[in-house]
Amino acid sequence: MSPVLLIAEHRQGFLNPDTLGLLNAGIELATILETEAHVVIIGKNLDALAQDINIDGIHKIHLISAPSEYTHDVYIPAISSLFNKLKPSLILSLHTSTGSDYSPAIASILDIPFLPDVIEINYTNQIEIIHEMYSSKIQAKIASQMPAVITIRPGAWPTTTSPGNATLENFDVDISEGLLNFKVKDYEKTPIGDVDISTSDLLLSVGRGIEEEANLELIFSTAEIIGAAVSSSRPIVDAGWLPKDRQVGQSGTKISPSIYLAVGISGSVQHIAGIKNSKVIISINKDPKAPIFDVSDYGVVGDLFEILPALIEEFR
Amino acid sequence: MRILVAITEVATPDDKIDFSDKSITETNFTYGLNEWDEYAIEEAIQISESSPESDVISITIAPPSAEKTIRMALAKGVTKAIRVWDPQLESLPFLDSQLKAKILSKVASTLSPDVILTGVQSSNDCWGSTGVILAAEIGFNWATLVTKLDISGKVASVRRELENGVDEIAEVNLPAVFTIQTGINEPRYASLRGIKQAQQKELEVMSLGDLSSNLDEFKPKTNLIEFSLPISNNSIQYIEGTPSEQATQIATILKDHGFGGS
Repeated sequence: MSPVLLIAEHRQGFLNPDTLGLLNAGIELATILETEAHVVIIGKNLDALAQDINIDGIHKIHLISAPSEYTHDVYIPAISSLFNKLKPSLILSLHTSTGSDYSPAIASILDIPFLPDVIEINYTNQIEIIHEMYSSKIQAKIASQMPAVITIRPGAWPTTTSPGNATLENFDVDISEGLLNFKVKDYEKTPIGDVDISTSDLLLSVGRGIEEEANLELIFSTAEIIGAAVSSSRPIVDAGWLPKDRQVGQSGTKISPSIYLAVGISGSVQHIAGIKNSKVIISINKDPKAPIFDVSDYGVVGDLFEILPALIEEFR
Repeated sequence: MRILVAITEVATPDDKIDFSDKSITETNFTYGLNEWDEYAIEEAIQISESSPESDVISITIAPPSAEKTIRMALAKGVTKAIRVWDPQLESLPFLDSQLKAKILSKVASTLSPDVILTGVQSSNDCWGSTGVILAAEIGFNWATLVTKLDISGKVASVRRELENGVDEIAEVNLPAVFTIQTGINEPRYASLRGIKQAQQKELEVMSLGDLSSNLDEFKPKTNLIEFSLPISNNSIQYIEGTPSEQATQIATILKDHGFGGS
């Protein structure tokens, strides 16, 4: 069988650490398919990055020199050219802001199946993947012919690795910068306000269940009495009730407190990606099927408007 | 300026999801506009309001039952709606992102849009990729995860939301597809006048045969093996009792970790 092609992700000189999970998924799959795992890395100053991805189980690393930071205008011709030379059985990338920006288009251009946000991959004469639907409440097992493009969920595979001995090979693709229709101007990081939730040891985090902005008062008075910093899920920030630097999740801040107390947060995939490093997660939610309970140590099925006032009383 | 907005109706499971291996029975479901598409519609209307002689056309792939939801988009200010459905789609357990994009691109290519907007993802399918495939199919540029969009002439300045609090600022040449992230704007409510006017607005219905003479084009590239419930490996400990008893136990956990004791 022809190799599995894995696309390394990096930005501003740093490898996205979830790339190592992607490589492990690819190595696992290559073993099942009895083939080789290859990685491609695209951009400038690739030498140090190539070392980061030279892990045990990878056979070959393809280096494609490109003039700029990531844009899909660069990645798509580069990966398509390599696909035509290598004829891989699968292309795997991360289901991130970057991976989901170019991978679907590659599948479209090559006219092959596309399987997004995959949490499991198996093979029995065809590729079978698991994709979550209905806010993680249902799993769909979906089959596909090969070749196919698959984006995997960051964090779904382990990132532990040991040093490898892959062959490095340059692959030249002519990418003319003048033809680019998408131009990156700048990157901006959300400024941190009066509280840095990434370093807080106790977080009281609030979600849609709070219902109204005025009810945030209950959250802040609870937080004050238990000594917590206040963070939130995305809808609270979207509504403008809390600033962006309080948002926990994939696009906001990844947090690692001793205790994460989540109230009225159902637990989107993106939110859960940001709280996995919490030592203890306690969740209060009305919906017993809320996905947040799947990652919680303690679950409280109940009404936050009854429980939080009672919690305040405990500390008076 | 012509703006297309690809919107979808989603079903939110209330409590228990009824499903078999091959299909989900959406009986106890609440139907409505996909949350991300609410923002895409608002953005489309705002663009049309700021550029003269603009119209906004919505496209939805859905059975007739979705027309109530589509009328809500018309009530908010969408000029005209198109709904695509076909018996061939009825028998599928879901529409994958490639099939959705193929249908949308066929409709869009007849309308010569300058801008196509859609939500980042739908809460039912969670593909998060239909917009990009649509752009690739129709040969437009694109930007995903857009949290700010300013169009000036034939160029759009966008802010894209990446990971870990980092945004990308970029420029994209039109025509282009933009996938809209929640929070980009404040979606308006339909006015009573808008709801009344929506009943008079055009809602065109198309079948796959209207889009291509070769219906094989609309065969999915992937197929469902089965639906199942997620298996939780998590050993969660539920705190039971009255709210006051539950609060006592939460307080104990907090105190055991050295919090709130002072």
